[in-house]
Amino acid sequence: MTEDQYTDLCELYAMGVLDGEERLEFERHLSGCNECQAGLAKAVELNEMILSAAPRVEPSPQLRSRVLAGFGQPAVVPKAQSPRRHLNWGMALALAASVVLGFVAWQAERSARLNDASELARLREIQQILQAPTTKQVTFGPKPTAPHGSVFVHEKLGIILIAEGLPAPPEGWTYESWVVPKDGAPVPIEAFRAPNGGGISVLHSALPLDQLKAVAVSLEPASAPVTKPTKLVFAAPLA
Amino acid sequence: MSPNDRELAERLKQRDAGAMAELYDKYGGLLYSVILRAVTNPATAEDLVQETFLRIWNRIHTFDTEKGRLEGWIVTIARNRAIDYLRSLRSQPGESSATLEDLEHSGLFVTRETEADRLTRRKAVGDALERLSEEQRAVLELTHFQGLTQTEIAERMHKPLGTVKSLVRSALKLLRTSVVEAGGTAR
Repeated sequence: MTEDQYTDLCELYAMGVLDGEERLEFERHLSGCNECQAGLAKAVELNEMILSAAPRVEPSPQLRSRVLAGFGQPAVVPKAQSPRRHLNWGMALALAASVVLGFVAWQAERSARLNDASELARLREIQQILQAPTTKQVTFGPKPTAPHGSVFVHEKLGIILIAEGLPAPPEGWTYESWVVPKDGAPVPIEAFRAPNGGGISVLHSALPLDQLKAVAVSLEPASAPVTKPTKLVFAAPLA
Repeated sequence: MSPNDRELAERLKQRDAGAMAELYDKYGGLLYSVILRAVTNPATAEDLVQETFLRIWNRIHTFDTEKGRLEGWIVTIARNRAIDYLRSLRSQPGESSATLEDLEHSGLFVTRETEADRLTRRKAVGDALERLSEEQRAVLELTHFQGLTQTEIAERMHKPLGTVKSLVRSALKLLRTSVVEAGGTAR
């Protein structure tokens, strides 16, 4: 390979996309070539500019809270959230996870037809967690008159909370879902929508699963930012 | 690195969680955009943004606040999280993940010129990307946002490997030239 050919590989090497043999050859050359070492720093910068040219898309407002909650920041959850169609989990919850899965699959197909990309993504995420062989199910609240349901836990994909038996929230109040660390304050995740007394939430936390002990739902005043649970409705242990 | 980024990086090193909020407000949208471009699924992109910020927090002690360029470092971390994810879907974890981690070494992200110069060059690169042919843009999309090697691109595009290499080389050459014309240095 000529010097020019090595130089041409700097950007690809810096992006980690050289084929195995080519990468090894480049690395052998790089260690003794000042020109390529200097070229690599410039290649890194060019790569960064190419990446930064990606069309700017803003994430959901909730992402900020999700990200910062893991770093001990007051996680103020915006109250205004995009409207989302609600699943009727009242019936589905009484059935086995496999039936829930079927229901999710049907809803996903419906969302795809309606071109509802965000809802479709959420349903696929639920589907993925429910289908994973290592997902564990923990039930809580056996009394049918009180809040009860299941928590599906997957070490990497996340946690799904399905609950029913929730009374309609008082006027001006909403339900909020939380993860509860073994040490430290509960972390708000998202508004928990429970039409007809039942709902489902995918709980993402910046904290590793082994640092969490429970998930919970609280009642929060709709007009105030969520910082700590106002009225705890239930807490479901993860094990 | 801008004085603000240097200060931000210093505060992150001192485990100042407030600095994380500032970092998110400044770069969260950029990191999300880069990741979304790669994985295309908004929910997955948001998960990977979370992973990215955790990784920044856990590895900030390796960052050289005097010479390092914070933006370049975190954009690369974000991109690499997305590529790791895509490679896991293609059942290619392992060696490639380790390689990407090596390439996040902050010594590669050094500040050489002023922020104003960098912005000028960035605009030049953006303009040059517009001037690339469809095929040149496609191969760069696959290397930079999908993490494919040239061999993998050849298979995906049903083109000879030599053609793909030529497309990649010519695209990068045009972009390098645009940097030089905007006041950067050639190599």
